[in-house]
Amino acid sequence: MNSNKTYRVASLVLVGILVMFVGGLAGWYVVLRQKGQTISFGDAARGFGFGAPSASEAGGTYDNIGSNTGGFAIGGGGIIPGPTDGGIGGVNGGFGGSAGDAGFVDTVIGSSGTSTQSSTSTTGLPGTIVFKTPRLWRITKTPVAGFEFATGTPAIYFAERATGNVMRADIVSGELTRRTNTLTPKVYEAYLARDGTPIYRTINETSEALETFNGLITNASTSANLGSVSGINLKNNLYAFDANPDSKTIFYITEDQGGFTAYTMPWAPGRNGTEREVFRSGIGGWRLFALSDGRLIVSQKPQDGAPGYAYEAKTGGILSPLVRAAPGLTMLPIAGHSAIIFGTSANGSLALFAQTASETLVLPIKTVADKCVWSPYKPAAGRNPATDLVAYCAVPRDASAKNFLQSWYMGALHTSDSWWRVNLTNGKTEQIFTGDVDGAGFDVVDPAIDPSGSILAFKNGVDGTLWVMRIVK
Amino acid sequence: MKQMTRATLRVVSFMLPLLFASFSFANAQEQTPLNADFISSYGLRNLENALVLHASPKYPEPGEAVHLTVESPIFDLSKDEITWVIDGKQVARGVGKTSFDTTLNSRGTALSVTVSAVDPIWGTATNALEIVPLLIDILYEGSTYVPPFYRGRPLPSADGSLRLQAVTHLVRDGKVLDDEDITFTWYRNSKVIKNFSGQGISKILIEAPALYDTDAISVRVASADESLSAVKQITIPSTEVALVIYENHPLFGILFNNVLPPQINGPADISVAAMPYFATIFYLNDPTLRYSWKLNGNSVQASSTKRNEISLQSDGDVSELRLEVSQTTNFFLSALGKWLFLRGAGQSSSMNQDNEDIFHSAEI
Repeated sequence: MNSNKTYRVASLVLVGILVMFVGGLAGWYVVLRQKGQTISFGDAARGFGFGAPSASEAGGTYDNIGSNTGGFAIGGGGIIPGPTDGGIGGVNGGFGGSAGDAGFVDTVIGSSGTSTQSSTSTTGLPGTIVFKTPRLWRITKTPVAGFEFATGTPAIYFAERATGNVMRADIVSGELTRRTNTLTPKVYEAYLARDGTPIYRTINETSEALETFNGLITNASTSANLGSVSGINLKNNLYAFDANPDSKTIFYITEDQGGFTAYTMPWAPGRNGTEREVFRSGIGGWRLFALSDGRLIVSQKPQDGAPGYAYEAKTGGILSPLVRAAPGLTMLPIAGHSAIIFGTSANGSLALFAQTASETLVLPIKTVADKCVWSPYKPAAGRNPATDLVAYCAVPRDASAKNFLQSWYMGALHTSDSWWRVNLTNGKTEQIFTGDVDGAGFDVVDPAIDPSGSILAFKNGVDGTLWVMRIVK
Repeated sequence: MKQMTRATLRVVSFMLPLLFASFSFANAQEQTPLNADFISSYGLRNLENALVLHASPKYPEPGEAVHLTVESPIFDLSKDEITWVIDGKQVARGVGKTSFDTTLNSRGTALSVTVSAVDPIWGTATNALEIVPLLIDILYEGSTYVPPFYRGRPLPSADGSLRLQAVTHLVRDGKVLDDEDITFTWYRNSKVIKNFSGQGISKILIEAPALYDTDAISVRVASADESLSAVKQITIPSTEVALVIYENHPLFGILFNNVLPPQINGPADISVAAMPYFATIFYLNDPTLRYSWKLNGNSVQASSTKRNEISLQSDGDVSELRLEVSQTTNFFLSALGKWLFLRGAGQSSSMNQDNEDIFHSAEI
């Protein structure tokens, strides 16, 4: 009897333990199932869909970032390797650049551009257009003070340096027409609206003052009639100046109140507008950007090797940093997007970077941001996706001068450039036009692009002449 | 049979609660601490906030490394699983991982840090911190001459003036401090620059570095209560005056895009304008500035109104033009330039360098 009882108790205990064990396992199974995680992947299709800076346990995002010279700290999360096919490149060099085809050239540097070459595949323009001008067309033989693309048609307005006369060049037919006949001699710089309305900047021969004339074209009822330029002088000595024909804004800095003050004014042709103070500064050496989206960007005038800074001027006089402590900083913002292209110059070496809100990439071309221009960008709207972020940059064959920027800005050196396209959305960099054709090259200054994104225009720094180049597929 | 059935029922009735208890025990590990009653009985509340998060330095600068640590008066963090999340992205996870290093980007954007710890006894606790870096930028330029459309920076030269500006971004309690709420103390080579320090003094004009010298300029910024403070330093070298000449074209004006080289195959007649970059003047016709022109060793007179310009006419095979620029009020300003004009023919401007004509001076 006792052994039976003992046996029974032991059995019960063993069964109990077994049941508890099974029950416990079942409970953990439920727990683990509740705690299961779903891993999500970022959308790499957008190209820049990367998140916060990555940092290892040892700290530091700089191990992810490209070359860092002269103590300059590059911000953002560094380069994050992307897909290998046409994606953003890896740690060294940032982009997968390649020297593509040299670019098809119809005729080079025809002085009047009346050859009958044609091209039907110019990027961005609607339909089939037969161009009578060469793909690379030198429009003028003499220096120009400034230029601006017209809207709606492939044409460009420019102001002659010698006379201030406003001319119109039809890029399809090659026809040159004069729009004004009011003589304004020795115009060093001109800003034109998209109908040719000019702002002239000249130097007073007696007082040496820098004068800015806000002009209005009158009595030009048709394109065949020559108009007159009348208007009003703005303040003297506006050493920093910009005018945007799309936002119709003038942005300038003047010395006053013991320092320097930045103002904007509506661009009202021929009239003084109401000044609005933007910020005050202890220095006057700024490069100004009045963007068509209304943003005001300022970048300190550069010096090779010296740290430079760029800010967005916001309301209340606040300068919000965009690029900090970059040696020999040149920069180029784009309307409608936070991306920036900026360049550095130090110790005889140039570097170019693309910066977005989350990261900074080293581009595989060595040039300055002054030689770059953004293709017009359109954000996503309705069913239409955003356009690619594309920049065109003129890249010097040799840019190894010790103080490149100082020498270039002084006019002590000129470059021989080739044109490159940088697509920041798909990570492709390719050469689209080789300069130095038949021994004649160009030193790109003040590059611009037409609203369709298909035609580039620039001054040749060697002689100040005006050139256009069609971007062919 | 009856006995067997009764026994079976006893077993089942004994096992069921055990089964339920073990199941609940396993499931409840994530939900309620085993000793919830114990915690509650001692009046312990809000243990989910039982972590203390530290950043060192407390107010870092952009680009600076930050050491993050977490501690707890209650949790045994050496045995707990700790997770670090920065700007919404998990960057580290591990048992006993009580510290983590990261670096702020150089643009000065704020960093959001979250740390959580899971303890088998006390449950889960989380803490978060936003690190807003202190931004100080020191901008400088020389108060010196550069031509009106020069796109580079005017550089400081000896015996001239240096403009400085500190651009700050100090944030406390989510509010950016105005310059007027900040005390600026400026230093040159570690010595306080007297009369140029104080509340709101973010912009100053001081002497430029001495000839061939380099100065270390630093600024210390601090909030009124000294709870926020930072220091930034830069080095600024002195620059010598760069004397160049450009052609002054009768139609286009001064050709700033082309510095005339030391040897010029120039046109028959040419006017040139001298530009002393970084000289301590505002205007080229500054009365304290002296232009000493010499042609083939003989002094020549430039225009009385534009003393930096001279016109040359063809005469002889080669002409040597010299210019010395000095300033009566600045002993350190002295620049010398020399150019050879070679015989040229048929060239109207220095933009085409085929002209072989020769020169002699001509008074304007």
